Amino acid sequence: MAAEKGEKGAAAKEVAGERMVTLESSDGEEFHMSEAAAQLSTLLRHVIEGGGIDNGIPLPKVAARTLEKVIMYCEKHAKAAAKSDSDPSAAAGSSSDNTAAASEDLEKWDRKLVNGLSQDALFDLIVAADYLVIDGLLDATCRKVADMMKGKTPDEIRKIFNILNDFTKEEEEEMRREYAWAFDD
Amino acid sequence: MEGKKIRAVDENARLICDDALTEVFHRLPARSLACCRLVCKSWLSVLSDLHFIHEHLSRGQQKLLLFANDRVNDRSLAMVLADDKESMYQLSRPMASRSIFVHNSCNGLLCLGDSTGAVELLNPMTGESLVLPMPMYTAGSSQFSSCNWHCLGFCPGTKEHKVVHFYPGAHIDSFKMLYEIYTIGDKVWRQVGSFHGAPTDRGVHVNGTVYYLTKFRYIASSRINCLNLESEKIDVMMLPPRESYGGHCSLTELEGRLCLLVVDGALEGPPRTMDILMLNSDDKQRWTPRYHLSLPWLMPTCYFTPKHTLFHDGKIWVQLLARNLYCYDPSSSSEELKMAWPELDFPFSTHTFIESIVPLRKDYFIKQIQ
Repeated sequence: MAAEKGEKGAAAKEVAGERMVTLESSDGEEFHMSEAAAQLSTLLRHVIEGGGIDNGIPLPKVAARTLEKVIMYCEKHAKAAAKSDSDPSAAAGSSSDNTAAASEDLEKWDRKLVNGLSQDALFDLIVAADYLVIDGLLDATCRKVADMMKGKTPDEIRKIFNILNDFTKEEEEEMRREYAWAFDD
Repeated sequence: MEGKKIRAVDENARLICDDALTEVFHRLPARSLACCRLVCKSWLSVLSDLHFIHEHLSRGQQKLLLFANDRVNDRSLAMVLADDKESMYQLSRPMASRSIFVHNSCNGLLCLGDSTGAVELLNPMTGESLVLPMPMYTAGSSQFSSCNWHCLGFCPGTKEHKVVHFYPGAHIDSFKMLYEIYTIGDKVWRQVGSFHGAPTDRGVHVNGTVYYLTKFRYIASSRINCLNLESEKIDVMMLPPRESYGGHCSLTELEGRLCLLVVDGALEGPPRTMDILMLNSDDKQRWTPRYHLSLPWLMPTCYFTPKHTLFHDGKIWVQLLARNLYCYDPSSSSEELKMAWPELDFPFSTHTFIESIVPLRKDYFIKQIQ
């Protein structure tokens, strides 16, 4: 569901037969998300189960543009899960090809989502996925960062993360001397 | 150094919280992690945490490492067979005229020996190595020696790595074996004790216990001595009952369990088949026949024990001769052991290997690391 500003009132309202949840980003924007999608977040699941969400769930750690992506991910995955559950051919043996293709499509979608993000947006998304405890999103985003780091030298990695080298020259030399083995690929 | 602000990150730096950083690290191979350790001190700290290291190691894929001495180019070579993509990478190290060999591999560490009897531990991923103090007995040190061998193992309880050294007692003919243990971090070997039962072959480490087959008098004994690395005591286990052990048996580790390899043997004929029995890990008493392979017509006699039999990528890999690696696919309908690689130019040994960043240094310039 697209972000609908100004929708005040009960957070758990029915929209087209689906229960919705209202979330408030750190910069005060309101977003709506189906309850099914919200279940993908362990944190939100607990909040919903605990009740008391009439006025929306504030998420002071998640900015609007990040929350938008989070909702996109959760809605997509919730829909995919619902589709495979209600798949009439699921009982028959032929479903294995369908499910394999469907999960491959989902993976492609995930990759497209994380690839389209700026580094800042990606890091924000990791923090959000970690905070909201959304395993699949955390996995996809962390793997993307891991891929960015593979095969890079320490200097290149420092540039990516803007990290200062706090080793002394001697310490660094000593550690590098340990590389007694060379790698020929 | 003076006047430099000790700040790990720039003002404009993007911070990922520790949890997320750990999640990223878990998705990196050991080689990349070895590199990440050099980025900054806080990353070094996270990557030196033993809990992280062992968790990362447990998620790693078991690979096959072939170790050889390439005398022509004066280097020791480790070729690591990676996964299903048949990829392979090489690690080479100047030989410096030493003839080194691998005793065994554990948790990403290689336990190396040479003809002088010296022992060294090496983590090929990080490049770190640790030369052990000279062991008590060094004569006849070789890759194949059954009376003088070392075995690297790991105590899951205490998370310590130990090297066990078995060597003969005062009288070579006696069936008494002595053993000493070196725990990484110690300054010296500890003489632990002696035990009855000289090994017929080198031992095998499986999950905190070192096992070896014993001989008694001149008959192949039906006993396995088991050294528990935590208690450092030896127990005896009987071999599974069988009509005959006319052929030869040896021990190996497959799929995380101790296995007994029994080569079918009429004493005069060539070995034809090999049975693999697996020890039940729950009660450590029952043996289950697991695989039955037919061997290629290579050996003229039955005096044959496969030196290295390993599990990797869903298949059983057996090194039959010094330069040949064979492979058996349990999922195929054939029982045959097929040639896996073209014959290599130099003899090699095969070991299961997991990439890890298990440290061999005690300190990393960081005061808060214990």
